[in-house]
Amino acid sequence: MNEETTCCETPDTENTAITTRDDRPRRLAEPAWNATRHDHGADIEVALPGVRKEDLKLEVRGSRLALEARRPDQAPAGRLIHGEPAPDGYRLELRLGNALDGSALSARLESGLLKVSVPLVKAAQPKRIEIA
Amino acid sequence: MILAQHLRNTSPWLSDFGRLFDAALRGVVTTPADLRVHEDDDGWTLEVDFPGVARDELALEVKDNGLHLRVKDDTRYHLPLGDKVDTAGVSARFELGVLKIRLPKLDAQVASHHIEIQ
Repeated sequence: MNEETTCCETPDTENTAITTRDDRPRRLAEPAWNATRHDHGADIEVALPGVRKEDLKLEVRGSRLALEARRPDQAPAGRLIHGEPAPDGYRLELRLGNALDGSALSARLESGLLKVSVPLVKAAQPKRIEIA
Repeated sequence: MILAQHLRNTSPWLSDFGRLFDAALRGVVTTPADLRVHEDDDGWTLEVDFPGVARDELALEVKDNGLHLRVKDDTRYHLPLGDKVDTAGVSARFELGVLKIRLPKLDAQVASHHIEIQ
């Protein structure tokens, strides 16, 4: 007899998986940022509230500055009754102008604000011309 | 947030917060735009992001049954607390640029309440 095993098959693992919150898709928001140019380069500020240094990844690839940060799951107990939930993290990609030396940048994260300082490339730095 | 007089002291207004906010009181709101409010059995937790702000630039006060927040000496927020909040137990933490304010519920509001049987 030809028996079709339709009964008691192992349920599809995907549909019976029990997953932790870590498996849900991450909501990465684009953070607020601003940049100021000055004689010696540019300063960038990026708002990253709730982010610790260990959760921040900053990379320079050529003229691209890439930032990805996780905001640890510190959501308070209970249900959200007002407002939008905080993002799970942040992602930002900026292009640095040709005169900026991305490889020489410095960054500092304090109280949820990232401050990046990008100097000018040597060739673009102000030079004093001696008048003979 | 300015709450209409007839709504004070009747319902636990903080759980109606979202509904009241949507009901055309937007124009007179004096709470931060990104305020998040969570409610659990024992109270409410308010969160606001203040990246780049130093702890000593924030001043939080409970006065006249209202929560008052001053930021960097100029921006002011105000939230009336109604009659469900244990105002003496209000606490706050500021870390990583996030301000978290805890508003405990008055004992009578706490879900699990042991009743002595005489």
